Amino acid sequence: MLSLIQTGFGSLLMGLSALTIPNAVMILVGCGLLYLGIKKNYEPLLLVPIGFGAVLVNIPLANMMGPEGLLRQFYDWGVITEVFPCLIFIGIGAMTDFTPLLQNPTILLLGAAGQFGIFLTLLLALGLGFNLLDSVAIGVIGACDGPTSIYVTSKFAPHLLGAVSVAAYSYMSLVPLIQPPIMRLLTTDREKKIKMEYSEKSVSRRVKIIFPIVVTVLTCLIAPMGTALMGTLMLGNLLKECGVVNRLSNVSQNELANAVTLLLGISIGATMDGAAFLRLQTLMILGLGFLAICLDTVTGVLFGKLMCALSRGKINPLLGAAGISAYPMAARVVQTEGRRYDPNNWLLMHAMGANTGGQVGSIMAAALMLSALKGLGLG
Amino acid sequence: MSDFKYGLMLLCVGMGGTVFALGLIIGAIQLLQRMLPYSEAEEKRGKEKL
Repeated sequence: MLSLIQTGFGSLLMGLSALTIPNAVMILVGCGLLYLGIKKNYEPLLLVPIGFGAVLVNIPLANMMGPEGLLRQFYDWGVITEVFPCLIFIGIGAMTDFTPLLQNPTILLLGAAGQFGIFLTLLLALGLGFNLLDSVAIGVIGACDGPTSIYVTSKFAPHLLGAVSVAAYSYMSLVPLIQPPIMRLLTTDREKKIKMEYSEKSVSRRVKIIFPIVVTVLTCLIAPMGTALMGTLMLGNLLKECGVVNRLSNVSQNELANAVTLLLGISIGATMDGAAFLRLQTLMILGLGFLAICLDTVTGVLFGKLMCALSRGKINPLLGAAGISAYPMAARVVQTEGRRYDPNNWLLMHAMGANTGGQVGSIMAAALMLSALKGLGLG
Repeated sequence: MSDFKYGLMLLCVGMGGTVFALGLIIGAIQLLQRMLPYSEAEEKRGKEKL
């Protein structure tokens, strides 16, 4: 009887004795993400479930990502099938207001310039020895768009999903820290103080309703492999703008987006298993992701300077930094930087236009890569 | 073809295609704005219907 009791107590130590150093390190990393989310308020909606998922998957013998594991069910159902990123996009579309873009459509071009970092990083990753499909997944971190990164990575490089998605979401939340030094470095004081007039020119409701349909048809005909991404973003926006399905619009913006964010976050955290995550490759991906966002900002601001010159000083080059997909953080950064040099400079609405352009541009860039690779028989 | 050449091809197709697609969208928006200009009366009618 005594030996049976001893064996029973001994079994309570099984988990502890099976704990490896990589598991322990990743539990600490998970706690670090929880700290950033809870204490520092960096993208808490994502970092809290990701951090907790990382803790769960590194508990030895729990087998959370085993064939029957709970996290495996979420991952297989939502990430492998690419359902979660698309559902998130419906929510994002329903939350996005394209009015500033419709009022000043030329700033949509800033949304193209902000994608240049994706392709430069892709080339850098190839130079560092990653294969083509891994490099595409790493480059897409530069889209600064979590769902797009997850969609592309789960298609081309599922083994990199943990590193890529953690990089994408972490850097998105760090945009207010990453972008300002680059913006200050690349623009003169005179450029930073350029004021842009904002006319309250209203946009007809019919234009707002037709816009998502036209964008879907045009872009998906050019790059059909991105239809799931662009289509769901624009469906969400149509639900918001058409005005006859407020219940669907509200549920997309709130319950749907929240529930999927939770499941997506915990599924991403589940890919951060110590044995697979703690590698030099992960550090390289985090470094390349950081570089991608810096390069996006550099090319965006430089293109902003070009537009400033072409418009004879009517466009503030700081707007170029908003041409990425981190909505609305990048637009807020532009507003803050503009007001730093002139408290009466209000760039927010223009920056919002460039930022929504960045959303469309990042999906377009990813969709074009998906379609080109499919055309080459690689996707 | 080496991976680097594929990478360069993606750079050209990706950036060129993005600029082209966004250019088309700009054209479409401008066309829509001209065809369906904002009118106070129209907006009122739309709201009443809802």
